[in-house]
Amino acid sequence: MMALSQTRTKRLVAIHGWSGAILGLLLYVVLLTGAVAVFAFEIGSWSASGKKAHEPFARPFDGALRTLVEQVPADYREDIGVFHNSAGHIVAFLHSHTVNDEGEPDEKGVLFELHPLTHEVLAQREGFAAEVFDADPWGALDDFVVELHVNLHLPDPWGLYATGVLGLLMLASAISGILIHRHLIKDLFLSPRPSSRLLTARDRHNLAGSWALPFAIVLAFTGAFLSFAIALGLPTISKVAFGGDRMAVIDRLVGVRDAEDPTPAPLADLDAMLAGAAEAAGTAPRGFSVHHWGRADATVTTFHLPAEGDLTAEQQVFEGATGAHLGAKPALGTKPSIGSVAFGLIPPLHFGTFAGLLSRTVWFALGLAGCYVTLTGLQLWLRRREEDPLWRRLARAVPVVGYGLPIAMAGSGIGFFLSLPTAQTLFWTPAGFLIAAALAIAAGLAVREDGALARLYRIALGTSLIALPVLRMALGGADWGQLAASGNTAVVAFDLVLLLAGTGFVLAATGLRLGAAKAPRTADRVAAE
Amino acid sequence: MTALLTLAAVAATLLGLAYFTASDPKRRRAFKLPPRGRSLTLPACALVFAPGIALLAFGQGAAFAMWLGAVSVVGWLLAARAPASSALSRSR
Repeated sequence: MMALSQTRTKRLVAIHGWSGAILGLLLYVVLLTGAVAVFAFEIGSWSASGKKAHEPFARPFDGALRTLVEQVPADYREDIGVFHNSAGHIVAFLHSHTVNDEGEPDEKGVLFELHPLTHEVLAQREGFAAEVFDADPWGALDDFVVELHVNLHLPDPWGLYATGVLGLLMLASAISGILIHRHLIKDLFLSPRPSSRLLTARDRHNLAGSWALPFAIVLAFTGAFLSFAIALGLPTISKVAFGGDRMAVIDRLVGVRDAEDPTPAPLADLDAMLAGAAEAAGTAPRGFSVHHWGRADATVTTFHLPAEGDLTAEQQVFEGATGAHLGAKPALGTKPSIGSVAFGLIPPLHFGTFAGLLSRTVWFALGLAGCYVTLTGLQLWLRRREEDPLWRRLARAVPVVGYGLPIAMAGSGIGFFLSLPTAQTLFWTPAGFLIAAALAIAAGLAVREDGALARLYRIALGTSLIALPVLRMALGGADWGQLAASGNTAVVAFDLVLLLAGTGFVLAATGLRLGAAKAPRTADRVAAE
Repeated sequence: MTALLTLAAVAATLLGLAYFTASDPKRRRAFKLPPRGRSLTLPACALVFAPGIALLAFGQGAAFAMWLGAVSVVGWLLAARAPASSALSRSR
């Protein structure tokens, strides 16, 4: 590896260690919630006990949308966004672009939630975008998990700043890790050596960190970019180059529209455009937007998941008045460019949602590997300082947060299901998280012995995970037979994963294994850890 | 198709990594195992890297990204296991 002087190495070790020691637990929160958020859409579908339709736009939708358009004021026909939510309902937001009470550019309009098969209106809300979207009781659980990862539920823009800084911290830790680990390649197959606790801890951290390095850099960079692009980049560019007009920046980035033509003109056959888009992109649209409904300059843009084998998502554009296919649209601007390709790669490389369950599973595992590196790094730092009473107290925070966070996330799910019959999920999902987190912290304060605390946490986590599918079915959710019949086997798989993981944690806590002879050894190890 | 390509590529790479895990000199020294005799470093290297290069060459971007991610995790899990035949690992 790169030869560094002793002073420089010491400085880098200090940067690597102190940055992790100060913000490591927060980084763990972002990493674990990020790993879970990879499955956000599946969590939403699972919490709603499956989708009512797998391809909601496969049925003719043109007539239903025209009926909705007739029900809203003309202003709200400026832009129409249509997609399907985690329950499989079609959501149509007919809106205008305006300024909210804080003076920020915002969207205001009417949101309709429709049954995907009958197109019956199930719910209708009017207001600014955040108000109407955040009021969906079915999306409470997946929204909660995603928001926890994206902005730690801090107010805008501070949450994005915080996660952006944590992304940069992870990047700095990964790069300083490369520089200070002198035998990165030589130690790539060195299993943790069974000598002193300190050496074993160091080997564990080094080994996991070395293998995780390439993706730690990718995830950290893309995460920091996504946070800062919205919170810092957009406002800065608008102030510097667009006189503070953020809509002008977005228009330029998305692609400058043709000259406006408000001449009235009916929209061509929408269903034909959706079918044409599916043929051109190779995948069915997962949503679409109509800009300037009822005008000669109307455009219809369809949004697709990446086609088989591709990393990046596609958009297809149609001329609204004639239904003519204008072609595929780059992610940025109106013409293909290197910048657009690079920009288009950032979301798939960060979210891992480009190839169905397999890519999501790989990205989930990468997130868990990142959590392991963070926690073992913290343990190593604290083990070197275990004689110091101050650091000893911080050492207690590692298991409290390490186990407390997944327990609290399971608590949010329990809160969601318990409140689903009364449609109070928007309140009880975060409340469930906070109650479970408070209980985990109280246990950390009350139980003095480390082994006993670890056992208690594992039992709590295991039973919470087992409770989730049980509550889902007990409180009105579809059972496995119904789910299999409706093609929602992913929900059954999700239930099984939770049951298996929960059972694994309970068995680990009680020291039981499938091979009974090994039980005392596991219990000893738990106590030692 | 993408999933099958990815799984096949990961399986091939895993074979190469398994060879390196079993024969790595530092690992064997640390666990007091005798050094391996015949070296198959070159074919093992080919097994590790060729699947990724092939995926890139055939324009399988999604499969390549998943292969790289999966190899990072599987390689770590493989290397983290102590050698089963080591006296040291038995005494843990």
